[in-house]
Amino acid sequence: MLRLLYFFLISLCSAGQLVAQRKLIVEFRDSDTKKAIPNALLEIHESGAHISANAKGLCSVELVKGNYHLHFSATGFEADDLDITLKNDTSFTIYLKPTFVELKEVLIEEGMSKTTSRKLTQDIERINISETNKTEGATLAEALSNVAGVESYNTGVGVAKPIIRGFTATRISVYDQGIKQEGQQWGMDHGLEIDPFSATRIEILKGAGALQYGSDALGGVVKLLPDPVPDEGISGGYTGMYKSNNNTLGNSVHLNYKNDNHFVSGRLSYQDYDDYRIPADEFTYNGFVLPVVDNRLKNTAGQLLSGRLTYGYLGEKYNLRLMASQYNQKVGLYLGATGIPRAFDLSRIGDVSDIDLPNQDVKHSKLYAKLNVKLKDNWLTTDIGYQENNRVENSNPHAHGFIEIDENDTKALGLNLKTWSLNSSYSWSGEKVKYVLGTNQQFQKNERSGWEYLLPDFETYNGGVFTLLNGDFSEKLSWSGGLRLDFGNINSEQYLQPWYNDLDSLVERSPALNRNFFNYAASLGLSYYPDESWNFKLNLAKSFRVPVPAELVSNGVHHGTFRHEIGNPDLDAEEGYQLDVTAIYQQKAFYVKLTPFVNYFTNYLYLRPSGRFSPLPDAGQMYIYSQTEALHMGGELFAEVHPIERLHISTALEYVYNLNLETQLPLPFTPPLSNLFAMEYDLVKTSKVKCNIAGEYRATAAQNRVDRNEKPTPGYNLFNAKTSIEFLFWKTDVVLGLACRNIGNTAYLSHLSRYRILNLSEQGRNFIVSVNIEF
Amino acid sequence: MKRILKILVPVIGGILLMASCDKDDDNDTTAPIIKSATIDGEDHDISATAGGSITFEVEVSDNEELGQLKLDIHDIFDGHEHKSTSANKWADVKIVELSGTNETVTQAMDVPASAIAGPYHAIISVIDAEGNEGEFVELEMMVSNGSEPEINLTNPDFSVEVHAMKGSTLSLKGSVSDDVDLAEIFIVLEEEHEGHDHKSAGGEVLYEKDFDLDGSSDTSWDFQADGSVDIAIPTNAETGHYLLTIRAEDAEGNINIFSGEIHIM
Repeated sequence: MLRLLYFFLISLCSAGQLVAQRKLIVEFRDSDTKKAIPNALLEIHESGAHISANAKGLCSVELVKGNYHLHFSATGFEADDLDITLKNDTSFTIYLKPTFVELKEVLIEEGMSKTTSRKLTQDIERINISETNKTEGATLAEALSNVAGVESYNTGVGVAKPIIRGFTATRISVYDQGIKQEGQQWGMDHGLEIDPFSATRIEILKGAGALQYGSDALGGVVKLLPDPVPDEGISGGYTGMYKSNNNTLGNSVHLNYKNDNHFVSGRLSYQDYDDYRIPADEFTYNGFVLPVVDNRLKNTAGQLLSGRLTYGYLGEKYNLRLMASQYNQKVGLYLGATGIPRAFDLSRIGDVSDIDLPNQDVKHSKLYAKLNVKLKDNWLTTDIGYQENNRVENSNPHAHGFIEIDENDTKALGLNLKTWSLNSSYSWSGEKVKYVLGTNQQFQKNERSGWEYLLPDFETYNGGVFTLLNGDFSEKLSWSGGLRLDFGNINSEQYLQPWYNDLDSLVERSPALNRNFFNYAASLGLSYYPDESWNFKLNLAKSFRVPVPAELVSNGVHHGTFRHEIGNPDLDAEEGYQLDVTAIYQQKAFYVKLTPFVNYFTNYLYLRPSGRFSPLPDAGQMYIYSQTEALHMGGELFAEVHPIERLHISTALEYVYNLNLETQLPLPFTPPLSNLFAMEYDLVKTSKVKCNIAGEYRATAAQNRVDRNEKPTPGYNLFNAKTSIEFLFWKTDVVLGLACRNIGNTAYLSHLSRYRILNLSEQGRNFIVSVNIEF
Repeated sequence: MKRILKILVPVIGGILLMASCDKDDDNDTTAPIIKSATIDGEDHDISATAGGSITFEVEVSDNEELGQLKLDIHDIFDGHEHKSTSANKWADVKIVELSGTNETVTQAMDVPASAIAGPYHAIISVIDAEGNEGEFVELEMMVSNGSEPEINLTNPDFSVEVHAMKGSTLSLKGSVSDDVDLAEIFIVLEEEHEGHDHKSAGGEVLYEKDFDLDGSSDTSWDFQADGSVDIAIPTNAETGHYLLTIRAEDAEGNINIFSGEIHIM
């Protein structure tokens, strides 16, 4: 982040001593030309309220006295922020530095430490997903994969989960607003159950995040920030899209109403798509050549309906947000993904728009409240959430050997997970040190159903307390540190089941288990910013992760891979040491960032082949959760250059290297080396009309570093292009977009895809048309 | 503050260097191989009888040390999504311990006397001692128990090569009979995929019909009198080998399948 120059001009007490309200006036000026910046934005961190500057670059707001964290932003300028203690009526001028580097224009800083990005000892990527960009990926995880170091693990087109530096599932946390999203995220083919349309502002922390966000976050955090407080009165918008490849129709409507201190906003989204097309008419599986009729993958259609309602109150001494959301997704699975693919099944494509067996049907409901209360001069933030993840996997019981079961009973596996969460933190500033004291509490209850078995009923409790400290050694060097203590309990019930069709028998699938885990996490970091161009960051963390019930007590066959996966109740917690380094150099039209990392795990949990076959029918080898020492390292290089103002060129390179120190083999599912090169040119850029064209080239190298029984994947090149035009029409802002993904209709295998094992190529050429209207 | 960098750069560089020296000790990731697999000496057109037994002969090899062999038998009755209600489907699993780098396993398996007649799969898979998984082999067999439907096709005569001219009509003649009620007869004529394994049809479908016999005394069904199975070969059909499959299922779930090749020219 470039330096912000600010001057306190006036700080005078006035006649306002008797009233609670203090007046804050901020004047925005260009640091180069010293001219006023109209339409700049002031955002108050504690309430989320934002105030637009007038034509003279002035904005004013009345607040009660206390400590506030302010964000300043304007299009075309470097964003910045400032901590203030408001005692009296105050006014000052803020000088923002102009930049062409678009990514840095808007700074949203939701981190608990409330410190400027330059002083943070870890790099946080901030992404603003505009309504038109939301239409490009079918899932939220896919939309994030343009960030260097972030990938998605896909099951077809509708199910995806984010991967950060090769870590996924239980090693990264996704926070939707203030609480952690809890589905059955340990499963590789379980997607992230969040409407891609609902996420607008996202922060991604690559690297150790366990301190603030809980033990699961040791690999990284994806944080979906709450939408900004809407403008006064009624506002809203509509986004619609069509995708040619699988006839996707997507619609999302959002409406807001704000009256003084109260606001309500709602969003409703719907998506429906057919079986998708791949650029191949056959594939080879286990030596058999199998057909892909009409280039379509049979039974990969799906639909998604989701909605969200928010109420907010902006008070002087407290502010409140209440949110309720619902996500319903039903998506078909390719037949070969749950058993051996058969020519007689695949040779008849059937109805391309229906969702047949096998399929997964997931409903995720969430209730959430956020309360910010001002205690004396500082703020106590509390997030309370309840969520229920109801996952049903449907398939034909006879296809899996359960011939005693009625064929109409298609519920193979039901998992109902209820999660209660409470997160709270209080921050205050001392003479030289800023303090945050916080806690995360989470209770979970899981109930199983269905004729297949994977996981028992269980209850878990995780509670942690942490403290974060940060301060400045000098005007060029800041430090941060923290400590967290965690307690975890897992209590799971024994599960007995008849042995397949021998209904009178009972065998133990999972033992009863009651285990406690107690451990600590700690971190220490430095940020050095010798001048306006350079910034170096270094963060060292000791992390640990409480094993999830799947790692301890699961026992079931993963259809498709035929692996019989078995938990190990004696596993220790995962523990490691993590070093993250960031080096940033920037000029007005140039930005480069290098982020290497090294993680050493003294104890890393993974699924290891046992060398023994499963006694179950229709199952392959037994894979048992095991622990090992492991090394995990790599880095990202991002650069953006603007030879002229209208031309943006960027490149994002990522690489992960890992090694299981016991087997001397790589860890499973390592993302391959890849680079995303992008160019964007603004054809028209006026205040009334904007039009640009952009092209992307993703080069992905082969991944030959694979774990035992994992297939190496060849490299590939992909090209995407898009254009959009934005204009004002009848006082509404209209954006029309046209994009083409995989222009060459290239047949390629993705190493990070569930269908990789079938040698199935990924989605082919896809034209995307989108409309967005905002009023 | 450059001091910090001076310390850090060598530390990080050192770790990176250490890690990039891949310890290339001989880590066995080579999968074992099933060199051959037969049931009663056959690898196709296998038949078995309920109450009898079958013998697997499987030759396996590995570069270092073999682990286990798994024989997994299950039915494939659901291939045409018909209502299968029978509980007497044959399903069995046998795991055989292996050792050394080459082994030929001979393993007998009993077919239950109560087994429902129909098509079954035997999946044969192998792993080595390290857990490397080889490609599996799948053998298809027809199990008969004496109660399955009997398919008597008198025309065309499959004892010689069958030809059919484009534009002509191929009339199936004969009957299906059973000691109990027949439940369903499914007839399909489709192009065989060229050059691929014999099991995968999936080309152009010239005829496909499902006769659901819901009457109570269908113990005999005639291709002409009851089904009028006259297959018109289109003039624009592709020249080549087509597969005629007749699948008959009775009320007890017993299945019989007839298949024969027709050359369309």
